[in-house]
Amino acid sequence: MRAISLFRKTSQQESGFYALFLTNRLQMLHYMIVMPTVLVQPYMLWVIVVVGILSQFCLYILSKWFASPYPAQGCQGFEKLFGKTGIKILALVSLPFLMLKISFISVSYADIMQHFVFPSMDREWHIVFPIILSCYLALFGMENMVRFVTIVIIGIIWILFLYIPFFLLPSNSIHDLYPLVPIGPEPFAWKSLLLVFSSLSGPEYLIAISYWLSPQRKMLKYLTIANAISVGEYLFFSIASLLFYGSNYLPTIKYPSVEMGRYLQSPIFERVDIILISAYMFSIIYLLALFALMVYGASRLLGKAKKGTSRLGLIVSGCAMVTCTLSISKWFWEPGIEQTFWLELQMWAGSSSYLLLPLLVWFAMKRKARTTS
Amino acid sequence: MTAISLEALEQSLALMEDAEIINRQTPDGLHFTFIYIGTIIDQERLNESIMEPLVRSFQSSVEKSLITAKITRLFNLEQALQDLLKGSVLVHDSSSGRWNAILLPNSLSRSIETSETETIMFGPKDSFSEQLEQNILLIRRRLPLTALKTERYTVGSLTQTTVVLMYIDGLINPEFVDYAKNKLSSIDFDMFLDSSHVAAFIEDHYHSIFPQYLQTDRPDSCAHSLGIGKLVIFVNNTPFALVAPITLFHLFQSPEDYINRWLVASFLRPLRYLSFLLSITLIPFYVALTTHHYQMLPLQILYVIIESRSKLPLSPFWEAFIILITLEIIKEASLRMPTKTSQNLGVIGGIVIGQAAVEAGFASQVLIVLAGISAISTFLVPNYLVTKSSLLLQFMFLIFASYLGIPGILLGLVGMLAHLNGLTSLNQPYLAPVSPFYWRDWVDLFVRGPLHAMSIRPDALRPLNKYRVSRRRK
Repeated sequence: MRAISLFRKTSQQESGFYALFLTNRLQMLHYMIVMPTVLVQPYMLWVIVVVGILSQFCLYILSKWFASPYPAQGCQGFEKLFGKTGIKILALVSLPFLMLKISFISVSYADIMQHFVFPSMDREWHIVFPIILSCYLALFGMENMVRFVTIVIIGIIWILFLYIPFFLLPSNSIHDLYPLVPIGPEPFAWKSLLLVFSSLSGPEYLIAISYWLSPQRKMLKYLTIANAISVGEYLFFSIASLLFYGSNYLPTIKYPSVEMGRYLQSPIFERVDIILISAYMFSIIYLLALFALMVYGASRLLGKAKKGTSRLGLIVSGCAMVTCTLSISKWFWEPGIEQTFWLELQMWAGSSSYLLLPLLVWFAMKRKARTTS
Repeated sequence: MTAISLEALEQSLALMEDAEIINRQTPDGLHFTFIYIGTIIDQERLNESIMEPLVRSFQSSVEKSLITAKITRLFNLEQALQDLLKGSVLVHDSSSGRWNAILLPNSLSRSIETSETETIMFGPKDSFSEQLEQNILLIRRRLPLTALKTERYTVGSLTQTTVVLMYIDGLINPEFVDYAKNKLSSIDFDMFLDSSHVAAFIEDHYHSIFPQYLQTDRPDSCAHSLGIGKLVIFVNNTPFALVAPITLFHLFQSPEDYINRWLVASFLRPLRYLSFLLSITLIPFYVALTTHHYQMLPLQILYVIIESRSKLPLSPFWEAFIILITLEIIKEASLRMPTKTSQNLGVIGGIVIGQAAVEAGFASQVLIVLAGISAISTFLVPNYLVTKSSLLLQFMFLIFASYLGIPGILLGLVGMLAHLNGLTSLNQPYLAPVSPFYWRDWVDLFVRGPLHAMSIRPDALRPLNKYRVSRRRK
C-alpha cells in the first residue's frame, strides 16, 4: 500500500472562517436528532441562551490554546505540553469518546432515514453507506477535509430558510411563546441544561485539528460568531417548533424538527422532508470523515506514529467505526430504555469533554509556562 | 555528435522524394550547395531572396551576400537535420567549407476565423489557428508588454512539437511558472498532435473525468487569463491553447459574461450551474421518484406519471438507461456525420425515435420530455469537456438513484464534491474560491459582479501584483 500524506499541511491560508464554519457545524450536529424535544416550555428558551453563554466560556479558553505557540507545532506542540506518555493517554481516552459520538450520530441519523425516507430498508445500510463515503472523503487528507467545510455549509444552509414559513403561519400567536418566565415553582431542569450544553459541544475537537487551522490571535472573534450563530439557530428551531406544535403537544414527538419538514410543500414535491433529510447527510458525512481521521490519528499515536500514513490504516479505522456502530445498532438500540441510555451517555460524554478538554489544555499551558519561567 | 558532410546528409535524406540537393556556381567560381525539403519551405522566397542574390553576388561568403537573412552556423549533423525538418535551407559554402541554415518555413495556414466551439454574439470574433506564431501574435496584439514572456519547449520524440509557455512576469505567481516548467521538461512521449495530449501529461490527476486545463481557441479569453495571473500554453499545430491554473468555476464562465451587463451576466451564470446540475440529476431524480419516492409527488403529477408509465414493461431505471444511451448514440452520430446530414439526424432522432419509443411502449412521455431538457441543459455549459464529463456523471447518478433513491443522489453529490475538492490544477485547489475559501473572489463566482468591483485580481491565484487599478499601490 502506497504511503499517502493524510496529515500534511501545505498552505498557510487564513483560516478563521474554517474555524467559524467548523464550530457551527459541530455545534449543530444534534439539532435534527434531539432538539428541541426537551425544551418544551417557552421559558426553557432561556436555557439555550444561558448555555450559550457557558459555551462561550469554553470557547474563550479554547481561544487561549489557539493563541499559544503550541498548535502551530502540531504533534510536537502536544508533546511539549503533555509529554509522550501524556499524549498516548489522551489518545486512549479520546478514542471511546470519538467512537461514542460517531456511533450515536450514525445510528440516530440512520434511524431518521429509516423512519422517514426508507422504511423498507434495513437501518444498517443507512449506517454503512455514509461511513463508506466519509472514509472516501477522509482519504483526501486533513487539509482538504478542513476546507471542505465551506461546501458543507453551502450544501445545507438552505435548510434553515425552509423553516421560515413556520413563523408566518396565520395560526401563530405571540402568546404561544408565553410564559417566558416560569409561573410558580418549577423543578430545576438540569437535564435540559445538560442536553443543550452537550448539543453545543464539539468545538473541543478543534484542538485535535488546530494545526491545520493556522492558529491566530483573532480566533476568539470567529469562535464567538460561530457560537452566536449556533445559539441563534437552536433558538430559531425551538421557537419554530413551539409555535407549530405548542408546548403541550411538543413532548410527544420524537423528532420535532424532522416532523415539521413533513408539513413543508412545494408545487413539485409534497414531501420536501425527504430531500431535507438527505441533504443533511452533507453534514453527517463530513463530520464522520473528520472523526474518522481523528480516530486514525489517535490510533497512530498509540502505535507507531513515526510510520507514514496509509490508506489501509484509515480503512481499518473506518472498519472499526462501522463495527462499533453496527454492533450498537443491531444489539443495543431498542426503543425505550436503551435509546435513552445512549442519549444520556452521549449527553454526559459531550458535556464533560466540552468542559474538561479546554480546561485540561489551559491548565497544561499554565503549568508549562510556570515550569519554563 | 556526428560531423556534418554532404554524404551523411544524402544518406539521411535518401528515399525522401521531396528532399532537394541543388548545386549553384557564382560568377567568381564559388560553389554553393542548397539542401532543403521542398514541401515545408517557401520555395518562392528561396529563389528570390536566397538563391538569386547568392549566385549573382560577388561577395566571398554567404553572410556577406545575404545581409538581410537570419543565418545560423551549423556544426553537427543532428543540428542540421533538426533545422532542415523545421523548414530551414542548408547552404554549404565550398570555399570556406561552412554549413549554414536559413529559416524559410512555409507559412501555409488557414486564415483567422471565428471560433466554432466558443461562439459569442458580441465581442471579438477572431480565434487561434494551427500556426503557433500567429497565435502568439494575437495575444501580443492584445497585451503589448515586455513582461509578457514566452518560453519554448520541444516535446514528442517523433513529432518534435513546439510548446510555448506564456505568462506575465511580475504578475503571475512564480510558483505556477516553476511548476509548469518542471512538468513540461519532464514530458517523455513520442507524439503530441493536440494540446489535449500535452495536457494529459502535465495535469495532476489524469484519472479524473474533469479537465484540469481550460482549452480555448479564443485570444481574448487567453489574454484575460494572463492578465489575472494565469499562464497559457500554446502547442504547435493546434488552435487550442491550455490555460492554467483553473477551477471548476472557470469552466462555467463565458467571455460573453464580461460583455453582457453585469446583472444579465449574473442571471445567466447561475443558470449554467443549474443546467449542469439538471443535466446530471434530472433523469436520476425521475428514476428515484418513480422507483422509491412516489409519495413525494403531488397527486396531479403522480396521475400524469402513472398514466404515462402504465403500459411500460421496463423498470424506470432500464427505461431511463435505454433512452439515455439512445440519446448519446444520436448525439455522437450527429457529430461525426456531415453537417447537412446531421441536421436530418437530429430531426429523426428527436421526433421519430422519441415518438416511436413512446408509442412502442419503451419509454414514457414524461421521460422523453425530461431527457430533452437534460440534453439541452448540457449545452449551456461553455466548456465542451465538462459537457462530456456530465454524461458519465449522469449514468453514475442513475445507478445511485435506482438503488438508493434521493439519498443515493445526495451520496453521489457528496462523493463528486469530495473528488473535486481533492483535485488540483497546476497544484492549485480545483474548488477555489469556495474551498479554500477566498470570500473576495466571490464577486466573480456564482454571479458576475460589476467590473468596477473587480479591482483586485483573484486571491486564489495569489498574484504578485494584486491590484488591477493603477491608483492602488502594491
